[in-house]
Amino acid sequence: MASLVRPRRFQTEEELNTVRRLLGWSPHEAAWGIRAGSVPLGDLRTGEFVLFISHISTGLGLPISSFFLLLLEDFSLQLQHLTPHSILMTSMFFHLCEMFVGVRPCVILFRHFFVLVKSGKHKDEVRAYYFQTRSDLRTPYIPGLTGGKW
Amino acid sequence: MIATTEANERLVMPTGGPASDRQSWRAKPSLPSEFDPVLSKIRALAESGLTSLHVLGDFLKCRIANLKQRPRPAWSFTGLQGCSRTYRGEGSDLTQKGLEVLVRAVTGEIFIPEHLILPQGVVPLCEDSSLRAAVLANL
Repeated sequence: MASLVRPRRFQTEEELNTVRRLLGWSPHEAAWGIRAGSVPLGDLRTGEFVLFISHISTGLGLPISSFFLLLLEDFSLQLQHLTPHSILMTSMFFHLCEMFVGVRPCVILFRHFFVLVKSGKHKDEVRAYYFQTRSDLRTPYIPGLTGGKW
Repeated sequence: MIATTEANERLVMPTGGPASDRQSWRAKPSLPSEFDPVLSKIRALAESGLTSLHVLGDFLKCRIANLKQRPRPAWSFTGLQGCSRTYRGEGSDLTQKGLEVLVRAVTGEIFIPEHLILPQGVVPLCEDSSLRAAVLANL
């Protein structure tokens, strides 16, 4: 069986500065906001959490929007439960609402269009969860990306 | 990497699945009638040909992080110096090459520039102040 590629970690200050730029920070502005991580994660302090680059590239920023936190709360999800594609779907829903429809996004409207689905089959895994457009919509939603459940 | 923000239990690493039951994941909320104009608008946008790829292209070009707490909504986006942008000022606009890299990285799909061109008649609200005023007045 082929071995999995070891996840890439951002460890050097230079690499962390690249991430800070992605987040829209200057290195001096918020140097406290991110740091290199190591496994095991037992040393996390209050307010610290694991952030992946894919989270940032799909539209997540700090501080995290209250809409997104409410959405996680509504489904009893942790951030890391969600696939990057689902975070991207949420981000696009947000932009659709604010930039094309002219309303602030809200959880009830999101849930009108999307359901939460579990991926994988093994009972003993934490597994990933993803959002899927409802199949029984009377009001159509805009067509999604062709990418899968990642 | 490890990030710091306001403490929130939703950001803690999970040790199991969500506490909610699967039935509640599919439960469809009953939308109040106040949402009718919103649904009509989304229907009109979908029927005019707007796709998720268009929306993605637009937010990448605007350089705004949608899931970041922001002082202003996207419709009040004010261009290169806008406070909602992750990159501000002169030279912060995405080049076509930069846009291609981002779209490919985020979607994993082949980049076709024409697929990002908005359908005729669909205009981002930040680009048309009179349309914005009219839409916001009706919703």
